[in-house]
Amino acid sequence: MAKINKKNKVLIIEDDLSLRPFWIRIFNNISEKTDFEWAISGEEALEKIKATNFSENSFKLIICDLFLAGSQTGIEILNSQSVLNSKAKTILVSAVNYKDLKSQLNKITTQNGMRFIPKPLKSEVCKKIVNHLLTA
Amino acid sequence: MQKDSQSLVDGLIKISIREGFVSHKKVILVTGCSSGIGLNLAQKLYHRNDLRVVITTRPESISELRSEFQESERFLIRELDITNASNIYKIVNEVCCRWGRVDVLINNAAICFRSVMEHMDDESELLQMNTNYLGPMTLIRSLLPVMREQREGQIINISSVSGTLSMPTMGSYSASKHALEGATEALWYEGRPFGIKVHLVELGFINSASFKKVILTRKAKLSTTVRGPLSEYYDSMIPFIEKMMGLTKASPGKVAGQILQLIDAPTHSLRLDFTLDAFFLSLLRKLLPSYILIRLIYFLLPGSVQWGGAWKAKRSNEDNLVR
Repeated sequence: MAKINKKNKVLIIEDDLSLRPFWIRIFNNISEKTDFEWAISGEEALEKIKATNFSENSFKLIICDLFLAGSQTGIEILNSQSVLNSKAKTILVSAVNYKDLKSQLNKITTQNGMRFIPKPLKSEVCKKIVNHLLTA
Repeated sequence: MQKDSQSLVDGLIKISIREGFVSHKKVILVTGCSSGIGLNLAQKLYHRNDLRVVITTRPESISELRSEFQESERFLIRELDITNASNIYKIVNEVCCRWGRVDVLINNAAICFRSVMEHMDDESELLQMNTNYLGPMTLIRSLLPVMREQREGQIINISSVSGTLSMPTMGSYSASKHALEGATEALWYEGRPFGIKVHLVELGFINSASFKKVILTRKAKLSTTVRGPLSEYYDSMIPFIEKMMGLTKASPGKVAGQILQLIDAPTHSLRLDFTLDAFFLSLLRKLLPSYILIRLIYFLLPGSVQWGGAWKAKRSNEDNLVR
């Protein structure tokens, strides 16, 4: 029988790997025990999400950049059936100005609510939002 | 499977030619006739009773061509998806069985992605290369045995100054045209002993709405909409290219006329500059060393000082990016 992982599972979809230490620091400093996986493209991320959806091991939080490796954008990923069918809460991160992005964000129909974090990422903001979403 | 279809086509071609289906009227096959140069060429060829013509277009545009032109004994309209090898073999087979020869191939079908390299994706790169390079090469390969057997033929590949000079936001298109230029140049040597004339028609900006039909990848589209990373490249290049298209006197009709002249009076020249800017840029390339030319173009392109925005590398240490 497969061992059930009781830690929160988080998926980070981000092609800028220099941000990996930043996110490691965030997850080391929040109260919830967390395991996180990393994907650099939408295609890779969707495979990971599909593989765990509806299982005990499904992602509780998906953090997605707007511009990714591969052909898909963050908006397309967060609007995909795999993400919409999952129970995961979602965060979109981007360096794009929120005002310019607003019309595009309206296209995201996620049921679980989506948060937006602007880049450059600020440690306190990320910690607060991630903590809130994982404990809610 | 493709190899089998190819040998079948080769066999049919040889039989057709040896059994005397040889026509004295030149047979011309043109791709990409739905708009621009292809359409203008089709309009000119339609009235040339001394030629036999096959105009082709992708399946989505075939009804437009059928409503504009009437098929006849000497004028055929066919669907051709240049990215589909079996479709190519089918057309070559049909034309060779019907008329026994193909004298002129005009590879005009092309698409143009407008995207910085970072916003391209594998799917778009493949489509770009399949349409502008791999497809035309399949067509050329299936017609070479026919032309060699005839001991004459003419292959006209419609290229662009982008085939020798790349510009930002046009990297993938440039790569496909560079590939076409490289292969065509090799073909010039390989075709010459068999009487096959090979040309690269070099075009610059063309004053036509159809040339504004560029494809933006999903990331490029998003970046232009939300002013995302690298959007400053689109902000300067898209209006610049459209402005240049509006200023130039080169039109699809004019270029189509020049291609027709080339068919009527073939030369052995490989590269033919059909627009003034193409001639000027090719002259610049010959006169200036590349390291000067690309720096000159960089500073001449409008808005180039804004490129990179807040991420621009420091002049003193170009490896360190700053926010």
